[in-house]
Amino acid sequence: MAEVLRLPEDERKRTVQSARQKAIKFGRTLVGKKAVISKAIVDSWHRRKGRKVKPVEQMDGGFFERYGSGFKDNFEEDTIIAEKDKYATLNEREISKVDNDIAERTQLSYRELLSSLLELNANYHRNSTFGLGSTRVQFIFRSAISSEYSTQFFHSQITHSFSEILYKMKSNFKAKHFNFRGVKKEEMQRRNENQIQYMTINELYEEVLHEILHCIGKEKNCLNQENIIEFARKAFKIDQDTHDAIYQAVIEKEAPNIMLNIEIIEGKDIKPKDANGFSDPFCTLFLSSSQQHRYNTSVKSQTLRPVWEEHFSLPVETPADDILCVEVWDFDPAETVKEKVTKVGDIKGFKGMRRFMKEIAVTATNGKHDNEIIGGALIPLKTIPSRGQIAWYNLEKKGKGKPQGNLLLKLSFGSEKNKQVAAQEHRHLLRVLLAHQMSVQKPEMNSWTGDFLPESSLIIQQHVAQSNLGAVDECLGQWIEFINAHVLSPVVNFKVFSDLINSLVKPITTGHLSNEEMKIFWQSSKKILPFCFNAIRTIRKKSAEDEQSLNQLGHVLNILQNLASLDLPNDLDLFPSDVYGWLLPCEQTRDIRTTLHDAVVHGAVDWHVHILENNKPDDFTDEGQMKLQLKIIQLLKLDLQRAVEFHNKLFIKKMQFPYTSTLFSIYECKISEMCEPFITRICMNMKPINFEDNGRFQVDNDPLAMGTSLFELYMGIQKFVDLGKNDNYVDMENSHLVKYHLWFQQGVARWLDIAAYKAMQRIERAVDLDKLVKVDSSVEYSSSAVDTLAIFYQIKVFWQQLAWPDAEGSYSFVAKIIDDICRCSVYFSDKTACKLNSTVIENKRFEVTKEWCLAVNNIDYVKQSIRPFVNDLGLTQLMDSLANYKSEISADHCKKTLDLVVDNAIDTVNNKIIDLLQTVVNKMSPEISKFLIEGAEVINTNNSHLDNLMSYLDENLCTLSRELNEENFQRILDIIVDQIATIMYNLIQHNIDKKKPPSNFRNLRDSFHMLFGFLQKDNNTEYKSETIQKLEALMHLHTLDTLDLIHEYYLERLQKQNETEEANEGVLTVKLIFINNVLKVDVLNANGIKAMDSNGYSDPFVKVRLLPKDKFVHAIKPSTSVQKKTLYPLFDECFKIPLTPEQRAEENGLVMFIVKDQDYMGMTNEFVSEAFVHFKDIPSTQLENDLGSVPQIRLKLTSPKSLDTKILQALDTRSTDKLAKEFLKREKIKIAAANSTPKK
Amino acid sequence: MKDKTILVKQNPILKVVILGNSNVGKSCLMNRFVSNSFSDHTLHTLGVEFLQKELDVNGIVYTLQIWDTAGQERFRTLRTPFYRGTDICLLTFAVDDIQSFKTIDSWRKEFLQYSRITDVNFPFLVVATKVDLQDRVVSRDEADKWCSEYLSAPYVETSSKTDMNIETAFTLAVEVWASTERPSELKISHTNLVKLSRPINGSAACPTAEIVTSKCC
Repeated sequence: MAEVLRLPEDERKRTVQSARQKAIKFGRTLVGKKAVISKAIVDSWHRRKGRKVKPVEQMDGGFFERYGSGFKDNFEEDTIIAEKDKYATLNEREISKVDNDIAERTQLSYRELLSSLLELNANYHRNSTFGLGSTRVQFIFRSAISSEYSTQFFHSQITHSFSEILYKMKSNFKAKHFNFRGVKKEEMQRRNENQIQYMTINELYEEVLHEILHCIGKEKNCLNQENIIEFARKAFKIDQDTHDAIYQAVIEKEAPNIMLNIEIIEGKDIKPKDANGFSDPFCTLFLSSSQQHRYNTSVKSQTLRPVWEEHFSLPVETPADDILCVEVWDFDPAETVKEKVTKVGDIKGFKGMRRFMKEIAVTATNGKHDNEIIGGALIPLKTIPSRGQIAWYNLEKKGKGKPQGNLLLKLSFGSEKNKQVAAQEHRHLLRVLLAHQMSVQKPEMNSWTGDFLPESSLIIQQHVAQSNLGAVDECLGQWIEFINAHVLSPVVNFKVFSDLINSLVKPITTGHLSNEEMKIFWQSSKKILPFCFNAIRTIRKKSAEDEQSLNQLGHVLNILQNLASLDLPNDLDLFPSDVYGWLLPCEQTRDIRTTLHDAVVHGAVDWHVHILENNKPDDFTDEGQMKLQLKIIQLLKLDLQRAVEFHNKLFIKKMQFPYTSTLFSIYECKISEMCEPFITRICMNMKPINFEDNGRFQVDNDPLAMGTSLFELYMGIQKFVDLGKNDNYVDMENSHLVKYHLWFQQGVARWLDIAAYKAMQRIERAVDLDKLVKVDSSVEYSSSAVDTLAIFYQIKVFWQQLAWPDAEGSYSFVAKIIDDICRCSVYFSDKTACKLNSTVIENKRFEVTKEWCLAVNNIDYVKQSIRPFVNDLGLTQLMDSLANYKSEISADHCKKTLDLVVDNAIDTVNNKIIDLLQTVVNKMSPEISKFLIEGAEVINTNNSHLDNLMSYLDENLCTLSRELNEENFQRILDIIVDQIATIMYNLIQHNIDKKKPPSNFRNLRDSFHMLFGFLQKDNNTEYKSETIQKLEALMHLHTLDTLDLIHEYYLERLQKQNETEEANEGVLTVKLIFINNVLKVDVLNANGIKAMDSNGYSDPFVKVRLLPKDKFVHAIKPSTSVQKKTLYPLFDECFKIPLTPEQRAEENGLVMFIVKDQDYMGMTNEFVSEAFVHFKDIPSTQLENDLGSVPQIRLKLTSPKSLDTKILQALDTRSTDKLAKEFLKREKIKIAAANSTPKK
Repeated sequence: MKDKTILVKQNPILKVVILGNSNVGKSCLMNRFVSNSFSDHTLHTLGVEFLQKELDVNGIVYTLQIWDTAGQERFRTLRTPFYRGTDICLLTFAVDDIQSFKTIDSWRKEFLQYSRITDVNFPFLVVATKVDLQDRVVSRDEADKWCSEYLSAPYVETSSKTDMNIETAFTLAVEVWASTERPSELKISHTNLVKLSRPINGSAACPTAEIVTSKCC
């Protein structure tokens, strides 16, 4: 026996070997294909994009494209590759799995076989039971065989071994070979017990033959007895001789005791027989072969729809040609004529009257009553299916064409066979026929749907019918035997089990099964459970998109659900550890649900291990590791995705099992174990930017490439986490991955830094490459602006893709990004300005070109993009989440900060624009100043120089106004005005030095006013910059006549006097009033005047003068008397100065008081100090009032201190002007006196 | 409208970063300086905060861009990116918190590391806060000595609550900055690269001002 089994062992090894070789070969082709596929994808991607790689991108190898929009494409592409890869690995995996299984089982089976065979031998000698032995053998086979790869081979082996074993066993049991027909009932009972255990294959065969011969029901009609017998012989593998012997014995045996079970359920449309329109029906039934044995139902009175629901059981001698007769009669109670007549009131209709009359007539004539037949049905037994049926039958009556009513009957065959024996027989029969079925049909794995060959099903049905087995018995039998068969070779579709368990659950829960049956049921269930769990563990073997495998999963879960709903037996270890090696340690009692969990977990863990095995690191650089980790995460994500799309629903629906979340929690653990330390380290070690001495920076290439992979990794994890977030059962709060982004935090910070520098490099390059030509006619900017915005856009896309989950971090990063964008904008402006400056050719008349305007527009365009850019970064959402996370106040703070940063940036860029405009104007200024200088030299204002200047400006302004937007044009106008003012200011200063005559200045002034009017056009004449104000003041001075200028000087002195706070040089008290055209002056006294003499006193007197001098030539010029040796002189002198009305009306008329010190000689009176009163400050009256009511005025005495005032300087330039010279001379004396110390 | 834009003041802009342990009162310092307000209950700063203020130091109006940072360790990665391009760094500690004083040097190191400043003369200023408190544990002499000997950085004592020395501190900071020698060539190109909004210190930027000042002074 051992030798017999060793041979297939070798054969099995060979099968395994060849399977492995095939697998390797297959894997190689796939790998080859994969390479081709991925290359094709990359190619097509490039082609689709139709991109010529732009020079700006070229310089850093498309740095931003990796992260921004391009990055996304890359990622999708990788996913596709991963998808392809999945199938490759899946196949490899499947094969390796089978490998393992077979190797494992082969070892196990060989050992077990040996020991079982030894045991079997022992049993053989001890007259042990066949049943037990058979179970053992089956067990061995179950352990040994379970792979579809060897189905075919094992099939022949099983059937062969099985029949062989049976055959050998037979002789052992010959002594106990009983015929169980024609034996006493007690004896039969006793034997039944034995029978269940000791039945042999031949006995079963005999029983089957017997049943075929005495086939019942309508199958007989289509039965080709010989074919069936031959089929059975083959199925049972009985050789011809044995068959003949058994057949002979069967023929000799009496026919089985077949019972016909009848239930008369109800009738309908029964013809009325009584006068009242009803009948009182009852049924009579008998078999045509024994008409004397009649059975009656009860009478249902006064109804045409009787309901009986009564059961009968009739012994059938010859089921082949007997006929069942059912007749329905109207019951006629024994009544006298008189009694009948009393019922006349119940008569209905004409017919009723006729029936009534007939009844009376019958009763009256023969004095007796009789039941009347309504109709009958003849049912040949061969029309009844062996399984039985429920059907309506027409009631016929002789001479009546129409049916007399309908009768619902339930008909079935039965036997007196012992139920236990029958059930046992049935199971054996199923087993034999299944084995035959398998060997004939050779179904694929899990494909057999429970349909037997027609012959087999006929035999089975006959057995069911003739053995009086119920539906539950049948199901249980199938449950047990199908499982057994499945254990031998897993070909049974799970739907079969699922349907069976569905119909078994109810009888089990309602206690219809005996303890013995329950025990068998659970033993079988125990065998099927590993298959269910294995199906779940190996869920990934099947393509998830395949409906078939999804159905299978549904059925598997249904089986588990039903089994889980039952009470598990206490005395049976449903989950033996040798079968469930993968169970996790469990503290609770093990049940189906926990095992399901473990199965799912194991499947997932296994898959993870498998992925790792198929993705062994071959590149040990950080880069390589990141790529590998990404791939692993993507594969895990794919698995999770499949769970979400296909499996989760089933698990939830059937088992309320959160499949996705279970997978998620396993994978997330694995991912965090794998990634966290690694990523954290990478991020910490990311190399920062190195500065070189010249302020330029240099970035090593590897941290950038690293950045790319790192963020692909980030995206991978992010997508994985997103899947988890969408599942209701996943507990994100406690997930290891909930803070995955923190691993990357340092890296993101670094990367943003690097990106900012890269962006600047790119901007520099973009500006270099810019030809300063509009990108197309509809826009006002050129390529570098577009490139710069593209960089911003990429940074934005990167940020959006990053989708940083944490509000605090987002805020800081956004602040950083905005800050960087601002720097980039500023850098862009600087670079643009630089570029423009270098294009200007020296010593050549500067003309504003389109390029300049474009540059300004470029900067403006970049500036305008800042705010939308910031909004696109998702500030609103960010603020909302900050408000939720922290508080409204915090969010508000942060918002203010960001706003400020943005405003700052925009202001700064605006400044840059202004700077650039200023530069433009600076370039123009040599030309402008040339025209102005030339223009100023010519006396005539209608000179052509000014016209030239105007046309120069006009030309350039036309360009500017055409190319610039309104805002910037206004700006440059202002700057030009300012610039012209500056130039003129310088020119005037220059001319002052050259002591040009006022006419020169007047020319300049006129030119300026013309230009100013030209440039300001109509708007904004109010506005004057500081420069212009200064310029105008200067021009005012230098264009005035000398007399006016002198008066201007006195006005300034008055102003100084009013501004003086402390009267250091004394106070003069006077009274002043205009009486009509007469100025009345009271010089009262003076306090604390300066001591001029060496004795510490002065000898002061006061001169009164009216200014401007030229207007008051003929007015009197009074002086007070001299007060000797005092610093507090009391004058108290009154003067009346008559004036002409013109003099009186003098707009800027002044009264000047000059305090002088009388010298010894009275010749050179020294100047002490002076004071001024403006005409407008002097009260006036028409009346000759007393001066006493006029208020005293206290005037602070001052003296000029310096020649260094603008007016005196202006006067000084007029070297040819006598008046000016004299005035200056006098003032110089005053100043000298004022600055002198008292004489010693 | 345009008046505003054309008159945009082109002051020198200085980026000031305030560093120091959590709870030493960096935000209070900034708020007192910028908005002259004080609150006993300030929230923790998230990452960074940013305010601007103009300050007249010796006749030049500077625009100070003040970046207030979060002192808590968990914000480290979030604040460090902002160190770059800083002109002045204020290192703060609270006089009632010895720990905050001891960590000053580590703050300085963190700053130098992340700002990538190699200039040994980089202007630091040590600011003691909360000097209004009675229970101070860091004495003035001790702090002053340590600052001058170890950091050779100026030291100033302030109280945001009583508004003591706040403006002085910032003025001092600017003065330190102004007196710090910088390699000019490097500084300009460097500035253009990294400064948020620094006007160009050249003739192109403000020729008007240059001409006027040369004549007036």
